[in-house]
Amino acid sequence: MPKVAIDPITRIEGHLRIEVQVDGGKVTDAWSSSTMFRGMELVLKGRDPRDAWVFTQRICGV
Amino acid sequence: MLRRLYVWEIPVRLTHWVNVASIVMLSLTGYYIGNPWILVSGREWYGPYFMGIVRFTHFVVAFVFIASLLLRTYWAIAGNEWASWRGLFPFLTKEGRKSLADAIGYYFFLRREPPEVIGHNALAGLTYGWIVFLYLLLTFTGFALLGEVNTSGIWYKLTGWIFLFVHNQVLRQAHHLIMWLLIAFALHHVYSAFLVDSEEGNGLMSSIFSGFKFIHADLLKKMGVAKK
Amino acid sequence: MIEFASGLENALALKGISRREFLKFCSAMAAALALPPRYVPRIEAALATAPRPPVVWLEFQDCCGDSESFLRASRPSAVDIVLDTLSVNYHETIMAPAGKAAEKSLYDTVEQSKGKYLVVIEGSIPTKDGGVYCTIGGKTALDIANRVCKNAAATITVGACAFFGGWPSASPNPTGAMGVGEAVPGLTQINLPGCPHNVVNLTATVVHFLTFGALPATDQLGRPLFAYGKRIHDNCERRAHYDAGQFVEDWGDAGHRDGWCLYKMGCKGPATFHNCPVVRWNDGTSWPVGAGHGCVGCSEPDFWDTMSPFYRRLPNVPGFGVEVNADQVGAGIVGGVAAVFAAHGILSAIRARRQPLAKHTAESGDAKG
Repeated sequence: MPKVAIDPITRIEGHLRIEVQVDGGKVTDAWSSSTMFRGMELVLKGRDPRDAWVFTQRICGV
Repeated sequence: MLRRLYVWEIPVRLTHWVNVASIVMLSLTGYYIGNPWILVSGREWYGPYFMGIVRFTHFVVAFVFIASLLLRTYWAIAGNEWASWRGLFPFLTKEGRKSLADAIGYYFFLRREPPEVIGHNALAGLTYGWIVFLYLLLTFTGFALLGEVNTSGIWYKLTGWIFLFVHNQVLRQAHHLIMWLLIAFALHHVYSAFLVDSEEGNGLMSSIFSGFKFIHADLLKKMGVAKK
Repeated sequence: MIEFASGLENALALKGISRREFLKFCSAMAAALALPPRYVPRIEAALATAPRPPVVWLEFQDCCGDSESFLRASRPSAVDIVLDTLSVNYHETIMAPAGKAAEKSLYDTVEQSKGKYLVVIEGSIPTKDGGVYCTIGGKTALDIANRVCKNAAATITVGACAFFGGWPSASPNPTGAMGVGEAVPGLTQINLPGCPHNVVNLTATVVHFLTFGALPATDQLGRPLFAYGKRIHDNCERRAHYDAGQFVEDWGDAGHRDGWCLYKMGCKGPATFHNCPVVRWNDGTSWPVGAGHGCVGCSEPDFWDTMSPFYRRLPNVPGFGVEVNADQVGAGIVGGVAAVFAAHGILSAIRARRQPLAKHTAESGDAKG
């Protein structure tokens, strides 16, 4: 049976891809991947610690 | 034999002292605008519009300063040889380059005699070239920051294009930094004037008040300046 | 049963939105766009009769904050009216289809309404390493933006990220993030920056587009003048305290409790163009400076680098670490120059004593003679 990929997954915040292996009508294996990366940790390095909240607040706006 | 020679004409001396006074005023008011350290509760005689008055003063003095710069620019073309714009670019001529090397040697203790000049030495001229450049940056950033608030005004039309490339915070930073560079220059300028005056004994310090310097007759002959 | 003039009003009536509320909305939009009252009937007519332009809402390197700002508007009619006037065909966070079906809705719109649909973009576009840092359905954000935006009637960017790259593009910009204008140049584009953007401005921009068939006038950075033409500082309710020289010196001090100016706490209102003080947030309840915190300058390009540290007036000077601004560098230069010339003065004095100039002795001779 084929491997099924669903991308984008909607009605969530962010970008998600789900792949499932289906064998005989049953899911035997599954993989999820987040398809977006921004690098918050790298951006925050070396900044004034008092500014950290303004950045980290923007990880997710929901 | 020393000769009394009229070197600094009236516009040179006038703009020099207007620049001094306005840079002092602009620095004081500008520093307060950037970092208002005086606490105002509103009951003082200078309240309740203290920042407004300081900013108004800053803007008015800025225009006085610019008027002075314009007059000096005119005089750099119309004035005598010691007021000329050529003094800002000593590296363009052979004598200028030699005088530059002599002055650098003198300041780094490589040479005992200060360079023989009538106006200011080549190194001073080069420094003033940089100062003129800073003045240009200072007035440009000032007008850009003033003009950004009113996008239909003339200052925005002249300077607004800069915001396509640089943010106003960067201009603000430059505006602050130039103030400090001018203060650093003023320290150096006053010190060097003291030093050269005492070493050369040409009355340099009083010349910026009176316009007259005391020059050796030999040097006048060498420079081809007619005896007065 | 009241007779309604149009289908839209009928549809709104079914949602419990009265004609009165609809007209209030039209007036509010005229006010937001700084139009005189005579335009209210024109806006009303346009909303009621204009064909519903299809809209696709793309999310790239985003946090969904602009979608939230858009959806959470609770002014009773704003979103209802806009959602009923527009036909939102693609928005990952709120659409029902997923996967291939979702992609079909997007590309059907692109094909069938070529040149007629609007694109709203939220989030920056990564360009480093072939754009792998954001992919949807196996396509990179850059590919999607190129295909979708180039066939659209207009592109509206919402939020700071789609405007200039947002915090993903802040130094050192790990993913090569860019705003839409930089990544896909040459679009008919309008920018509604902010972090997030204000829904009033998006609604007013759309209403302008429906009423006049064109995007509103913008400044040189592509931001509509009705929303980004005035500086925060010049419309701030604390401005009188600024002019008086009354500043908050510390969080919670007497000045802070009395609502004094937040300039010394690093407020970037004097450097920021936005209509926050006028339209405010959460249905005009309040806004950051009103709530007692300085503005961070979120509608300005590169604000994560040029406006930070957020609690200081001036940004850091590159190469001098976290704590140093232009004034400190400048004072250091002045101190250094003073030290150098003090040393020079001492050395010169020693030299003058040890090795007097020949002409000085000669001149004293002259004076005597």
